Amino acid sequence: MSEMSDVNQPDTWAEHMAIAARHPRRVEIVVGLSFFLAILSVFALGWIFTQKGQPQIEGMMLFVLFGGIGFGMAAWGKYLMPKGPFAEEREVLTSEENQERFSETFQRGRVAVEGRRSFLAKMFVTATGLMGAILLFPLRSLTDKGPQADGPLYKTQWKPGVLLVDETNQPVHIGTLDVGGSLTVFPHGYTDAADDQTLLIRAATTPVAPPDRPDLEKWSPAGYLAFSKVCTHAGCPVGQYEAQYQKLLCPCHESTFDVLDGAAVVFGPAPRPLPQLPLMQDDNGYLRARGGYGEPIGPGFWSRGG
Amino acid sequence: MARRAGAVAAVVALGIGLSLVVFGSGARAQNSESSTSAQGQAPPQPVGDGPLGKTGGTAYNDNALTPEQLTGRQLFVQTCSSCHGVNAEGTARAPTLTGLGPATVDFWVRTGRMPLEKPTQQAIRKNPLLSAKQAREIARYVASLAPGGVQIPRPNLAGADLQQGGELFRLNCATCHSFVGVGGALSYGAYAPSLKPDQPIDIAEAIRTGPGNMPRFSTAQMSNKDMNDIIKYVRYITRPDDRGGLSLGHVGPVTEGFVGIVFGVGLLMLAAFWIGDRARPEPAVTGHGHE
Amino acid sequence: MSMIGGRNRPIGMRARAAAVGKTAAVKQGRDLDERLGLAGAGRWLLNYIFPDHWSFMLGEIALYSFIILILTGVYVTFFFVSSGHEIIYHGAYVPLRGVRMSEAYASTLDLSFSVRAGLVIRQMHHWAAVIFIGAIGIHMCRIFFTGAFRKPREINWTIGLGLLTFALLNGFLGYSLPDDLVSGTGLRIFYSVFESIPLVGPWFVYLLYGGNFPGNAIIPHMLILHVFVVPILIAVLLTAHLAIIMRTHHTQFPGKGATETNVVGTPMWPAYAAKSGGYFFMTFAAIAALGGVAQINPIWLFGPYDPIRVSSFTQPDWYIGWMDGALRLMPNWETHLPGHMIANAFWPALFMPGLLFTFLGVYPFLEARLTRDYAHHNLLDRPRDRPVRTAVGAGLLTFFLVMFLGGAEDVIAVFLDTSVQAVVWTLRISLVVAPLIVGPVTYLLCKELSAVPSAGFRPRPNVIVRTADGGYEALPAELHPREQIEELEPAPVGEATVPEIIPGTEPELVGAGRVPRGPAPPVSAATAAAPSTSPSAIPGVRQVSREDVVQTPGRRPRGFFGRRRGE
Repeated sequence: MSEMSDVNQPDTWAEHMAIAARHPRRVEIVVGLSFFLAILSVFALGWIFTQKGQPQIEGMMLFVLFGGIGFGMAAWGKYLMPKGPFAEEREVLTSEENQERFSETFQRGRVAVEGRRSFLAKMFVTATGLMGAILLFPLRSLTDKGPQADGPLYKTQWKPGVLLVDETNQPVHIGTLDVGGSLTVFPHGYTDAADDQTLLIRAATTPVAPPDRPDLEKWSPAGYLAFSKVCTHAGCPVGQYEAQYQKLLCPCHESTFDVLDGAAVVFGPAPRPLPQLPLMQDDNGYLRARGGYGEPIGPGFWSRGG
Repeated sequence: MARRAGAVAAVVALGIGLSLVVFGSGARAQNSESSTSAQGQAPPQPVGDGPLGKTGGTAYNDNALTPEQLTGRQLFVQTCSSCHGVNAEGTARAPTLTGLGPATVDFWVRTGRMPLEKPTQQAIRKNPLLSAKQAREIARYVASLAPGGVQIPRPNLAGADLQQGGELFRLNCATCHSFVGVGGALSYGAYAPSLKPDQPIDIAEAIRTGPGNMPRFSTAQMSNKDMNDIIKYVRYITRPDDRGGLSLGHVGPVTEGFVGIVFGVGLLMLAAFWIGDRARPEPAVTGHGHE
Repeated sequence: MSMIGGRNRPIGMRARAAAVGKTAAVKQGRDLDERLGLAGAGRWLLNYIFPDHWSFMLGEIALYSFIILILTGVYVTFFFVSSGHEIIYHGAYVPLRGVRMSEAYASTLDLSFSVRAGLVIRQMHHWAAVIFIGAIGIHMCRIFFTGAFRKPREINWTIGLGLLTFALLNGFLGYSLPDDLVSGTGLRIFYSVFESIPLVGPWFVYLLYGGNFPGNAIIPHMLILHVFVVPILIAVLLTAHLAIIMRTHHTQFPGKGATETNVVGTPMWPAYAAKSGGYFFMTFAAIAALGGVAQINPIWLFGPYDPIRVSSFTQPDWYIGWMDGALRLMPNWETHLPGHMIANAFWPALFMPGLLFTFLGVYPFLEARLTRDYAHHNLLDRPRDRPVRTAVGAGLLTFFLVMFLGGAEDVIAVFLDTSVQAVVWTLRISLVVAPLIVGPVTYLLCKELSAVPSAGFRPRPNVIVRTADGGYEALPAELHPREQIEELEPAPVGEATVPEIIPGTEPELVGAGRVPRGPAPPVSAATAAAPSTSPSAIPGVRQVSREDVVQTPGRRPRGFFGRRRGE
């Protein structure tokens, strides 16, 4: 212990009060340097701010500033302050005496409250309960904004005869897409409607239908197919059209849909095929919806039906 | 894929390493099946890659070709015909090229994706076997076999609109190639490649011809101006303004989380390890047993 | 330095300076005590003992990250416009000029490109969130595996779990606020997940988003939740968390004189205040370094959110990754009831996390009931000594890890050059099988380790000696020094750090070792200024002589600073 006596006055607790450093002088130098670096970095930061700033230098200077202070403080505490170990007794958390006194006091009060006036207590409980119920009532206004049965949760703007347009409101002609092309389309006049977004695909030059539903060829003029772009799993835009595999892939959770089989799910968590939009070609060669989607688009919800 | 992101993902994936190899190889077999069926091919078989003497029996009239087409034909016969047939009519191993037009052939050959060693794998960009001029000659030759197809586009970035290109990129391209063009996963082992090495002409040809699983964008759907805008944005976003610091591979929160845990929490744990005490004293250095 | 200077014999300049400082401190303390009666509690706080083991600082990373989150968060909130209203951008970032975007996104761009130190502060805010939740997770692992959640600390474990829940929620809200293409897609998924709640789902999301997706109210709603509601909930729970720790004191590892009835370590004042304050700045430094050097959430590269646009590699921040992974690994089942439907997303994203968190929340009570152990525990377990708990924890961690990998499944597939299908199927099987393997293996390992006292160390050689009558005898091996429990006798805290006690302000001793708290008796200025009494009047401390210390032989100082341990 004698080597520490230069900074510690030896006494009864000298060993506990002793510092941890064997070379306190070295530590003092390092801690001092650490604080000095922090001071320097303040000036460096000030200079950078006058130079319109630079994120990387700012970050590094902040690192030096905080790191200098932090390292200095921690080293000071670790090496130059009493190393202990010290002990304190835990306080006793619980005692039966206190518990008894508590329940005594509580019972005394309770008797004072409702001993002869229990009807008042019942009235009070009733009043506060009713108050809670009536304060819940404004929440009823949610239903005004809520999902109505004919609202957008159930129906889109796709209706029979609606013209297909792209994002810039240009109508889609039968010659717009080559085979292997895809385009995001909207019902005419609703290019901002997130739920109406539909992926138009040209899978072939002649009508395409699922193997088990050859009658749906009439939905597919000149090999065009249109599916809701809202994934039936979690609503992400199903935008990855794999022209070679004839698959649609959702980039969020990798649900995969078979284009040639009515967007049937072939992989991933999506529980239902993407709803298909029936198409037709008008007299001028433009594509129109033959009808709306036959079911609510997008992910499932409670009142969607069994 | 950026190497840095890859390295990080490697560590992430270490925990499932062995089983993944087992399952992965099974899936690969499946992949090749699906890709070959999609191309209407027979089961894969090894392909000789040399300039095989398979030219005998062809009825092609060399005298009707221009000198350039003649060079193209020679190159085609040497490097392509073993799979695609002498007259590009297609074989059991590879599809026909007739009627595709020059842009398709030029893209695949010039970016080194063709010739392919094994027809089952997804063609990746590599150092091209043939020069750009030779690729062009092959393309002209194949185009001369049948009319139609996509002509080689001429991208012109002068006056292209970077901002409009960004909007189109995010709508049409980012879905597969990701917001900074590093690529992404597709089904059954296919993937969208990184756009970083692509020259404007590569991007233009890919847009117009839709190589592999990529959709193709006709001029009726996407004007040449739109195409030029997109190319300008791709050239920017694959070398983006990373003023926040290290890019961490541009794959988003996966690497960010990894860096945050390892370099943030990890280093702070080391700091705590330094500040605090360990449960046990340092082991003494003593001799053996009883001495 | 001055605090540990001469106690009885002030000598020299340093000691005199210390004496002056002490006088000023005493005067200020007296002024405060005469008005608020804080001296008793203040002294209790100064003497409060923190265990020295490094793993007790893991929670501090989280605490300090939270403080940094508030500091940086206030700054970025000044510049954020919480509006989904669409404008045309004309700011500093050229590739997006003229593009239609929400005011929220535009203001985040301005924050990043035009505000002084805006980008570095924004990145620090985001990194702090990443580290905040990472630290909570690692802190919880320490608590779990060492059994620190046992009575009387079960409530604090449950509160901590609530803190984690709110931290996850607020992290997600903050990640979503800039309204960029990646986080906007996350909001779409969030919508679908909450839409799937039976009965109230659609109503709930209509309230939250202000109508059908994308709605017009989600960004202002998220801002008020992110900067007001959830932080206040976190702050309230955090206060309770820390108050309960102060009330029950820390747990501690056995050894170095630690018992069930004491706390061994460093008192708050001065050494722990210096170490912990330093650690706060070190946390700040680490976050600043990351914020300056490592780019996080570069929203200008993502572009503004638009419901028809999407990017591959769309991932949430890491701490939501396990829920996203659960969404990705879930088979495509949908629950059909007569006339109603429970959508696919409900089970992996709400039901399963709810179940897991409920299990974790009641785990302390469950374990107490199953082991019939209702005693108070202040000494920690070694994980190997509680094989069942350790196995359960390892199994749960494996389950989470597989889900996290599921969240990065496309990144893994691209990197490993294999198919997404292969990765997903591997992980789907692993999700069920891996915890069932890891759990039992952990159990067996713990059993083995706890049966072998020197496990993990090289066995000490037995020595065979030849006896005088020609026979041989094997002497048993010595324990490895690491295996010998070091018994250090700690010094009583009050004496060592506050040698001069002001009479009348110190608490009375009631019961065995009990220090009552509450208002100290009124102190007159005269008695407060009275000379100090003997240090031995400290309540609730044991007098221990250094002769009791069992020295472990053969240790030597190590390191540049020559840190001595227990010498």
